[in-house]
Amino acid sequence: MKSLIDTSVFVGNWPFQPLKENTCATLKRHLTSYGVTQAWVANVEAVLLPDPMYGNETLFTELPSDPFFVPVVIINPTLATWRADLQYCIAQGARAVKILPNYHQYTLDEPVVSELVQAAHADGLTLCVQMRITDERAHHPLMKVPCVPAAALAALAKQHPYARFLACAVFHAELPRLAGIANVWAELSHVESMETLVTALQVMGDDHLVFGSHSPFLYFKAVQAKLACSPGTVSEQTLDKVSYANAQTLLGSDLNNHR
Amino acid sequence: MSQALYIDFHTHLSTPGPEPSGEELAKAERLAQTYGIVKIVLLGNVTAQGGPNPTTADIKDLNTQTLAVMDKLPQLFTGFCYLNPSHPEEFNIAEIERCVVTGGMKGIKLWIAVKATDARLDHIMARAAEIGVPVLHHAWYKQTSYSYQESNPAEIAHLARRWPQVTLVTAHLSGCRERGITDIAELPNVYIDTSGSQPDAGMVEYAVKRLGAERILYGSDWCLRDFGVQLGRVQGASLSEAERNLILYGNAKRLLQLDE
Ligand SMILES: [Zn+2]
Repeated sequence: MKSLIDTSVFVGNWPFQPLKENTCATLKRHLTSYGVTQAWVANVEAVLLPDPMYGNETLFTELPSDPFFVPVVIINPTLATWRADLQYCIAQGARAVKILPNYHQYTLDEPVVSELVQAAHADGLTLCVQMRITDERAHHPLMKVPCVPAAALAALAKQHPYARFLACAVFHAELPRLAGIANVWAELSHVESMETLVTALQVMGDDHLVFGSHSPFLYFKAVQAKLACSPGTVSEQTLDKVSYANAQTLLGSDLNNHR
Repeated sequence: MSQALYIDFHTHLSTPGPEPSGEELAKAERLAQTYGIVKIVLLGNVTAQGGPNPTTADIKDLNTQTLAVMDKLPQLFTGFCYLNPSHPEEFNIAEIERCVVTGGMKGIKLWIAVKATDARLDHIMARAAEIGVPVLHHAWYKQTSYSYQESNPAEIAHLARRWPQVTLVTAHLSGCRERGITDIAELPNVYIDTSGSQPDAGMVEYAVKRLGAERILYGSDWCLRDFGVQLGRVQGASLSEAERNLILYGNAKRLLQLDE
């Protein structure tokens, strides 16, 4: 079976959308039915709960013992305990950190973010920046949360060229801001154009795009269709890079036996 | 259904002016073939020329281009007549005559120039009723990025109540979402197309539950969106084969009065 690495999925509940596959068990069944061989999972409840450790703890409790899931923890660096929480999560097997500056009300240029980048990097963790959870136009009228500006991520990544960054749920129109930065990758879940992968490759090149489905928020089949290109437009080799090889680089292949 | 035979009810091209781009048409043809789309409804290149409030000259250009596309690739393309209700009645009625009655377009497209609740739509709706063609109207519930005189689905419902004899297609399922679907649920003359925003899981099933599959039309909003992604949201939804076929093909065939 060909590898397919899904770099951005969630478990748990979200108050604004009923999620069908909301546990590790149901999500794994769902993803494997579409051919996913590895999924980077975070608990989405950690976004809105007052302490993201509620969600991270649930994730660790729920994770199956097999290596299908790569645990991604959500850290809020505005909480005084984040340093110890990160170390705890690393000890529990976390392989990547996801941050949501817009939901947790800070900006990427704050000094504490640089400290977090360094702390995550010290243990080889990839830093995932969730640009948005859902289309801002459809937010609850009492909870409108602007996206993370792509330019802010670009600036942060340039400031820390040694660290690896993944832009999650970035829009096609935002890609040019992230293009040409060696330590920034983008996942495809929210990237869309008249011929998505062909045009995204033109912007980002073939080393910096990875597959991400944003499951279970979106129809997996719809996101997966981005890999099913018109014949002759994208080479097998490039498809392999986007489907799994770039994700392996992004995660840090030297750390594959970390957990 | 073993053979994919999809009808896309919501598309645009990106070329301004009265002449289509051969290159763009070739791309549309190639991609339609890739994804099994056999008929495309072209709604006019509303984002390419004229902005939110196009002039009569803009409208003429865009409709002339749609007619030219239908002429060049009659198997693949049909079109809707794009109108701005703020223009004089004589102009709009003449444009319907030129594009629909004589030119063979299958319906009328209204975008964001005038709200659906505005009485200036009435002469267009009256003519649509007389000649028996559907009207596709943009709709969205937006918390941000609101544009010009955009209508929301409640305003589409207002239009549908004024004109129960006209078949209305509300654009953008994932822009209208649950509230928008409930707005139109009790109005049997209103359909919805599946385009808009992201392919949010569960939205198609929700629409089927509230409206029935008979009132839902697959639409991509290509070339702003990707045929494969937009088909995927219908193909990936938990539906019966009969429901899926209605959405991807059957309902459109009925509304467009396509022959076997
Ligand atoms: Zn459109």
